[in-house]
Amino acid sequence: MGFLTFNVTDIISSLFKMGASISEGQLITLKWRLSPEGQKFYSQEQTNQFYEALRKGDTSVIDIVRKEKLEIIEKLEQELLLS
Amino acid sequence: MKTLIHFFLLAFIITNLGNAGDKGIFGPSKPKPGKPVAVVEQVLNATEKSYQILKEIDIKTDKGNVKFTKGFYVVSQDYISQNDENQNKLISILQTAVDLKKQNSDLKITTYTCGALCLILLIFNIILLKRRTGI
Repeated sequence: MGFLTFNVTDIISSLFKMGASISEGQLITLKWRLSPEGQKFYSQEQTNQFYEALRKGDTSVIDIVRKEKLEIIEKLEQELLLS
Repeated sequence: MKTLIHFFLLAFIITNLGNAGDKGIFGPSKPKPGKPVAVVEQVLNATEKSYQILKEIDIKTDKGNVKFTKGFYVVSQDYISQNDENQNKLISILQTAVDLKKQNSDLKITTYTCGALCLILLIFNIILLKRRTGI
């Protein structure tokens, strides 16, 4: 549970310790996902699952967030288009 | 007579409060009801400077289309999907536009509520006046 309170640096350090590495693009996405702005688009349960996956060294969840961001963009655009 | 004066006074206050809200007297200026909200077809530029320009731009509404009043920048969907930072910026801009749209819609509701309240008060006062005068 303590992992949930880690900041981005701690998470990255943990990933490195586990032998996982992330690209610059993934880092940007990870920062966004953990920021208050990014958290707005996810439920607490989804965030917990995200942390849990990272805790296990699964960095593929960051790529999933990247795809989800495109869906969010699409959704927001649609929301604006609706009269 | 007193009731009638009270009514007009109340109607005057409510109407002016509504107008004041529209003009931003009691806070930041809000988009006028009936005008707007627009679409973001083109949005973003890769540079931080242009992003700042975008952020400073007032978003105005026009029949379901969100428009940026000062210049805009076009970046293809592919470019956005390939650039993580631009995705974040785009989300932020779109979210701002959505919030503005919602604010606009809330303002409409407030205006209509005030109108309805005035109408109810008017009817109520007419009834009261009729009863008192017996006309």
